[in-house]
Amino acid sequence: MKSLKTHPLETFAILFALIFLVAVALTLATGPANASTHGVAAAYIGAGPVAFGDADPYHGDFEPAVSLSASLAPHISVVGTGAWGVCNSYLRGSGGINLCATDTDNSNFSVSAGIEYHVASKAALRPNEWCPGVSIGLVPLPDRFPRFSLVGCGWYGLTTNQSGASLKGAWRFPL
Amino acid sequence: MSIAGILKWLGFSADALASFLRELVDKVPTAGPQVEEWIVKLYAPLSAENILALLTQLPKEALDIAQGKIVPRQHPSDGPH
Repeated sequence: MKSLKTHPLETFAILFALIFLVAVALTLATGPANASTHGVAAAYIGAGPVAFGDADPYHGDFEPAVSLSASLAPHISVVGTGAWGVCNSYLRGSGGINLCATDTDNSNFSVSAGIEYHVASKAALRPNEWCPGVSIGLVPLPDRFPRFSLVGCGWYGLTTNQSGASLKGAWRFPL
Repeated sequence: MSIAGILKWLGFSADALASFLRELVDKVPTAGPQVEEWIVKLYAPLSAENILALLTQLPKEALDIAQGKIVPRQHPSDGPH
């Protein structure tokens, strides 16, 4: 096993993965899917720090980002994100499927695992690759700001064997 | 086996994570109940039954999607990655 204890990005990704296991094991709703008052699609505008693996020349950056999501089933969503690296002037994108284990008692909190294809405009963040990952989202102030959420995500590149992580505050726009 | 046990096996301290989460509550007090819920789940034993239930649920949902039956949910984790 690699030295996970001292690699902060892998620590981040592993913690998210473990939190996902907790959510799946303890909060899964297996009852019949109920009709939802939420729309299928949503757009997000957000920003926050991102960290890349040690082998990447860009160890980290700050990214404003936009994303689109489509919730197709209670546990299945299609997601996509486009981000701009402010310090290193790059475009980074990802898109794929999220398998969600939303806490049925709290619709303002969810944990997901999935796989996305990551692309980038600069060679320093390539090759483009598939990355399994986990993400956790929280609406911290649902009464005052129901559309504001915090989203943390960790991923692992299957080609580069490098991990990455991001944390963003985002504003949701139902479509 | 709990998440805390898995963390210990990997060499991390669940107690330190719980302390860090509680420090977040000092910054965002309204998140206190949610953070405490997370900490309870950190030490609770994992349930294989629920994991299996999710694995059996996913094919059903995939079939529903293929048949055009869309049942959306709001997932904060679907936000920007």
